[in-house]
Amino acid sequence: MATQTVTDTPIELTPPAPVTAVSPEKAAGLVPLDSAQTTKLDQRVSGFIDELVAIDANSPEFGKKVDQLTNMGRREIAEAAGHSNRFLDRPTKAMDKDSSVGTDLAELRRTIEDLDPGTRGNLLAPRRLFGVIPFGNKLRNYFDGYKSAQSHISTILSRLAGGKDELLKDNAAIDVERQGLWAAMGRLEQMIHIAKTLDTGLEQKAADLDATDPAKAKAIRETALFYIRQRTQDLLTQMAVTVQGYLALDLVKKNNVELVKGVDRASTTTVSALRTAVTVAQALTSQKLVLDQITALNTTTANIIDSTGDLLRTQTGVIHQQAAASTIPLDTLKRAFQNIYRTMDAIDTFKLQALDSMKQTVTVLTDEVEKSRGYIARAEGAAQAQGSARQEEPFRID
Amino acid sequence: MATSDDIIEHAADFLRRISPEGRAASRRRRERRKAAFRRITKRLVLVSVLILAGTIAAGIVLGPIGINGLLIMILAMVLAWTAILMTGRSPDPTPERLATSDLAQLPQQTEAWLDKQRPALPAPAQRQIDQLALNLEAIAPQLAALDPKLPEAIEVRRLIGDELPELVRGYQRVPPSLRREPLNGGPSPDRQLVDGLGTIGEEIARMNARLAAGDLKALATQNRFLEIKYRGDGDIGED
Repeated sequence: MATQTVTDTPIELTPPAPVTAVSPEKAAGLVPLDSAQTTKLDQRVSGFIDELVAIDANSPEFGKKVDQLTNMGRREIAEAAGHSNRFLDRPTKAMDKDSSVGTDLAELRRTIEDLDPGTRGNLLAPRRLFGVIPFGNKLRNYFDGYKSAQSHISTILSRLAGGKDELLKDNAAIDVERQGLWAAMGRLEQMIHIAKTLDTGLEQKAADLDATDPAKAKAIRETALFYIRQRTQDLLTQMAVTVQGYLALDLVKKNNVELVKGVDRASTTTVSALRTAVTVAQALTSQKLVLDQITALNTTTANIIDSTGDLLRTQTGVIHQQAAASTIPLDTLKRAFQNIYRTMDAIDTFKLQALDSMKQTVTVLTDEVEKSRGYIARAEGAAQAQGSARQEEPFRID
Repeated sequence: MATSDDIIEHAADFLRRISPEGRAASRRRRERRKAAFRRITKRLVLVSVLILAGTIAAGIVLGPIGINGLLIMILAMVLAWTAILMTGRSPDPTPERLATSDLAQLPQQTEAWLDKQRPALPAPAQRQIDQLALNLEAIAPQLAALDPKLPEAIEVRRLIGDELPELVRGYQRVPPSLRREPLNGGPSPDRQLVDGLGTIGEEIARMNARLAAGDLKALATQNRFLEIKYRGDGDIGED
């Protein structure tokens, strides 16, 4: 064939790779902090350290200051944890949604198979009653089948368009969720920065005090430094889980995008096969096959699905030419059907692979969330043991 | 003779009243009074019309009602009016009533109750109460739409129906002579009240934001969906 239509190139749907566990050590530093922010945070940290060192190590004020450290970042952790809990139910939801698209695709395939010229034997052979008497026209009967199938096909195609909208909406929700998650990660990152600066600052101060005031150096090491290290670990663990969730959401989004591509391509190939049939019918039987509903659908899909519209517009002429000029127009029609099958097979393989990587991601994420839950429970317990949940917070991020 | 403390207190009070929060508070007080007046007037008119209509109907059905009938009508009217005026005023909210009142009514009633407590509270707390009233007003529409069985609803009810009155009453139980004395070197009861009111105000604002989070997210999602669908998939916030 001289001209290849756009739909002839096989569609490739690549399932995104599963998200692996992010280690707490690697989690920090993924969200960049600008230097103005870090300078401000550093100032607050050094202010806190100066205040802490100025207080008598045995006074209740010292204890109060140290308690503030145990409470540090509690709100940030709780907020980020809330996000992680919410996105765990998302992959399964996405899979549910795509199942409605899946049934529509399966139904489309069944309907298309009934019309496939490849399964009808030799359509050009004359039809004979008892194999002897010439009777009717096989080809004419075959094209009549399109008329009865067209309303069914157009219903399925508009349902597919609805399913596609659902997938797009899901992606919109994911985008919004990720934006919130990114902000939460930024706040966690700031807290981690504070914790790390406090750690080095206090370590330094304790070393300085060793000579002049060993009792205070000991108090700082045993209380403040101990708590701050515990807190750093909590923050890093939560950060790791949150980063992982952020990546997992991207995976769901990419899956949806691929699936949308698949649905688009399936609709396009179907409509284009039906149009080929119209042309072939004209060429072979000089019968005018009128598929009103498909034509109507064509116009609406062209408006809704941009890519489909473009494809169809650029192709229309080509198909007409091919089918009319081709010495064997039925082969063109058969190829159009092959295109539909290929698209649907690609979608099926994609879904299997995508489901697999989604499952892996969910398992890893669930494990990590379980782990981080332990830390959060400990932090909550510590806050409650101090009698009041609304503690003064020295480091508040607005 | 006015001491400097008195002068400062008067000046602070004046400043508070002309501040935006203070003006908003007095506007709401006026609105509350107006609403109560309208409610009672409406009932009085309604009852009068009903009794008049009843009299006319009796006159048509039973024939002329005579002077006795007229007297009975006047008596009924007077009785009905008294009854409406007696019961029409909404009872003063007390902490006990706050705890059982409707969630949708809660912010308004708490605000009214707080307003009644104003004279007994120190000058620095007045500003906090103005701020608190604003926060309460902001959260009211959201509470009206909230299912009272949800955990958030229970949390809000506990905060403004229980913890807030408890703080104010706890302060009022402290003898006035001790209210300015720092406790064991810590903050004085006056200061504690102000801090507590501030914390509650912040928490109400935070709850307000949290209750709105779902709606905000839904709107952002719809907007993003429209973007993806009709403008193609760019990164969020990108044009």
